[in-house]
Amino acid sequence: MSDPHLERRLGEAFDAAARSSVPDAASPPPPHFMTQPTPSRHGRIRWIAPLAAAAAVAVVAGSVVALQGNGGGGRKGNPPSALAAVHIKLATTGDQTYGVGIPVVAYFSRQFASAKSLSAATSVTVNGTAMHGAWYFESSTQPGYPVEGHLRLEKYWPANSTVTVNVAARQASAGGGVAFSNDVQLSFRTGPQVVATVEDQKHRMYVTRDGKPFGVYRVALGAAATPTTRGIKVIMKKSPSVCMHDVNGTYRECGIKYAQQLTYAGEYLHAAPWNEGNIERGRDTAGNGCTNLMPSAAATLWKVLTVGDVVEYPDASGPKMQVSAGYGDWNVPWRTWQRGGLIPTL
Amino acid sequence: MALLTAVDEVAADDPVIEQSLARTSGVDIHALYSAHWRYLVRLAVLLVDDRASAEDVVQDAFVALHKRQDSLRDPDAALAYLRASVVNLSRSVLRKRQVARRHVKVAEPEATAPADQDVLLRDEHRAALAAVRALPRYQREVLILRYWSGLSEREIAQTLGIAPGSVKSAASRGLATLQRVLGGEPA
Repeated sequence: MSDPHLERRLGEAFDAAARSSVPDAASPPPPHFMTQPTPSRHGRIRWIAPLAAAAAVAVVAGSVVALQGNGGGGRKGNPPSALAAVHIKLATTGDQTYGVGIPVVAYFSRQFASAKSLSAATSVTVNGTAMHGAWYFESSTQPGYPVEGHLRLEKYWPANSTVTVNVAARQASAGGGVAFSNDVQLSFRTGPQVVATVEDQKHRMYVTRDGKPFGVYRVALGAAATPTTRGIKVIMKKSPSVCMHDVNGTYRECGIKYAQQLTYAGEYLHAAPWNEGNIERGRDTAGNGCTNLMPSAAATLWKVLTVGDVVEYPDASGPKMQVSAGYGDWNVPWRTWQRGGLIPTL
Repeated sequence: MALLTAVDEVAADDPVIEQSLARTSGVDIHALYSAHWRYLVRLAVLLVDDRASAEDVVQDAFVALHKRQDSLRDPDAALAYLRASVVNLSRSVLRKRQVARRHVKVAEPEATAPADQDVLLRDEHRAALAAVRALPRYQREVLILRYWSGLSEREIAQTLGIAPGSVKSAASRGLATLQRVLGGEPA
């Protein structure tokens, strides 16, 4: 009985109405639930990497930033940037084991002129031995925290080690008569040095663990319209299964398994059982720049790789990965890194 | 360029995943919020016709989810819960609006106020939306969930809390009315 013409017309009318009321560029206001008491047993909210530049959500390791002004109505948040001191908020969760490429990430509650004394106040040890780490800054989309800083060594962290970071910045100068308001500390472990190299020409991913070959896997990368970006990426987050959708909300797909996130915009390593034929034949047909894997390979890599492990794309067909597109830290030459980027450290 | 955002969902029947669930269990409400806000506001706009009410509805739905975060472990179930909340809260917006209208004015020129955004739409879309707006509640909801959200009959039944058979009949009755009102055009 159904009339395809009418059904299509309905779908188009709904879509037109939805889009004209809520354009693609519409971004969410601070959520009201942020002002509600957290019902979680631990009184903590887990930190998540911001999933898209549009995500107007600021949550960091166990601390929730009050975004609403006086409750209700206000669209604009009332972030702590009104204070005349720079608050440092650590985003990296401590007491965990990470891959050797993990950057230490912190957010800063306002722009500041100089990171010189922050650098001087920062000490890094690996297995108790002092190491030279350096900060690099970019602007951030986190509400109330316009600056994002990453701390790393010249090379990847040593494998199977304990890392401590101590930033004794309280009252240290941030330039322009402004000071930092707090200290932060962090301790984490590194696992084995796992490096995955995805060679687009060969349609293969080569994985080494502590320098020894671990495995070779067939891959299909992003199609020409949605190429995979080039450069050194780091696993940011692992999800057993995800729903993916594009920015327009026109495409939705759930049940994508063994998803390991590489960029904020949504490049993942994941199982692609629907794409086995193209993975076998070595065709880059994956949508949206993801790295498609055979389900068995994706399962193995899910077990082997951890957050912080390095995935290199030396010859992918897309543009070079930007630092802020994810944990793009290792694409910046050390000389450039040491100058501090957005905020000078020298 | 990559254009995807993603939200965790938990697949229960997988041994590899089971092992790692200890670390990743629970619903990440912030991730759900940033990933689905636009989709849910759009759904609410179709149901209540104005963006301000739609945004309120979505905020309330997330507050409700937040309150029972601990009892929902599966983000897919969380999205279903949000969707159902949006439908329910939209109904009460419409109900309140109708009560208000009854008190203010007896004779409205139209049965329901057209959405202000409609002026921007093409005539054939505007006519279709007006016809949908005039349908009984369930039929409207079913058509929106079917032809905009793209849900299956089973998912619509779960969202509305009715039997799949009722979804089927609401859809076919709604479509039949629209066919009559809008006039059958050759496909």
